[in-house]
Amino acid sequence: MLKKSVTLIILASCALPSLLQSQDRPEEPLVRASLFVSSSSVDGGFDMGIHFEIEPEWYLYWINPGDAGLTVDVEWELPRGWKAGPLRFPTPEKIVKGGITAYGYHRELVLLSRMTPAAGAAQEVPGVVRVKLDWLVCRESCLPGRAELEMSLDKDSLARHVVSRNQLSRYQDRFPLALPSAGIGVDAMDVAVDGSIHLLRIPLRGERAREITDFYPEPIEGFSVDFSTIRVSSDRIQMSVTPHSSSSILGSVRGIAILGTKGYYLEAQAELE
Amino acid sequence: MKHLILHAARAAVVLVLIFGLSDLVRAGGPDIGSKAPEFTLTDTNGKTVTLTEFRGKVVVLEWTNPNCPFVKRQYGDKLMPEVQKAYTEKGVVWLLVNSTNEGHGDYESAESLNSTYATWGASYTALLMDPDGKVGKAYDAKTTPHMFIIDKAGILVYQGAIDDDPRGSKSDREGYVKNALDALMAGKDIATTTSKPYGCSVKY
Repeated sequence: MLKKSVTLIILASCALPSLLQSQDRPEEPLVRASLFVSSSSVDGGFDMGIHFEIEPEWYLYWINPGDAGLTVDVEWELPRGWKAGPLRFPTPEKIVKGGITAYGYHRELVLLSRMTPAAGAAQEVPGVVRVKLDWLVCRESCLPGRAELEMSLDKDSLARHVVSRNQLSRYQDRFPLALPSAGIGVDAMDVAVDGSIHLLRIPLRGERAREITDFYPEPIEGFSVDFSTIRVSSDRIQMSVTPHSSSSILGSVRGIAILGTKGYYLEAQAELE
Repeated sequence: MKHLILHAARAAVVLVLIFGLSDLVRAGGPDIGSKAPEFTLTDTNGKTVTLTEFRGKVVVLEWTNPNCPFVKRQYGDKLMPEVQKAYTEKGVVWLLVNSTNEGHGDYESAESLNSTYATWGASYTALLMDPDGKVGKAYDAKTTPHMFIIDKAGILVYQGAIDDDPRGSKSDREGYVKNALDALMAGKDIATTTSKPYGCSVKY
């Protein structure tokens, strides 16, 4: 008998329940999380998605939360031999309040990860995917939340959790594309040291470079980004970053360039001395 | 006229290119190694406190908001009070700064702050009220907590997080403030002079 599938949603429980009792606790959870899949068959792999429904006005954070906040943490537990690809985040919104920059999502967030089954998985007894989620949801104030979800990988369960092609396409539209697909190229990044900060200049090539209106950097290991310094012009992106120590070395910067309502992945390597 | 404006715009672009990056993108609070901005604030007991009165002592500034979950965890887990106690006993001046604006839901009166931090077992020299956010902006304080260390000569030597454990899940966390204070008091170089602060945004 096939193992009965189940998707558990442990409500937006708090990381610090005892400490949060003094705050107004909403009757309904601020965030509801659930799992979905892109295919009803495990053959050849499929996308597994985590869908977050967020109360109006509240938001969750991108992989780089910005000046404050915390990204959504995702910890998979997979059947033996299975692999989860990198977690992909959609293009976030830039939220600036009181001079503090945040990158996040209102109303809805979908995270995707490519699942590669173990060899011969289709012939074996279906396993279960479990995931632990940990987030911070904010409006004027913030509340931490957690959930643990699980989903059986048997055919019935997959069929119940598969989203329609239209729905998947709607989700996928929110994810960044590759920058070359917009006809824009990136040259080596110029790094100038000015006192205790580093000034970065990323040269851009291509007609459409002038359409870039903003740049959302991913976290840079060993450096803090001053988000208020990010500037975009027709042929470059500029920003200042502060090294955490004298041994911090800047190799590359990754992030999302914004053209209109679309995001494009950009990676710039530092120019070799 | 249109022509002139176009020329002026082109000239501005050329000037920007000539004067380089620093005029365009440098911003934010004080740099590490520069003089810490002076300030005068009123503490929760109505006393006027200035940074200059502590010259000759090491000063820690801790931006705080008792309604922020990160601050609550730091105090609830006794991480912040333990560091405060250890270093105030060694003569370090520890100043809490609350830059929450009066119209925000997280705002607390001076009396309420005194009561909360006493309940939490905090050890500090003064708890300073900065409701207009002037001092917070001068330091470019982003989060609660956001930590700054000023040496005996009034120079900023560290700014960033209290530790490297935003989620409170590490058993081997690196205490950035603790390590910086130990190095400073031993006359050694501080290994990590900046880190990304984590927490709630300061409620300016």
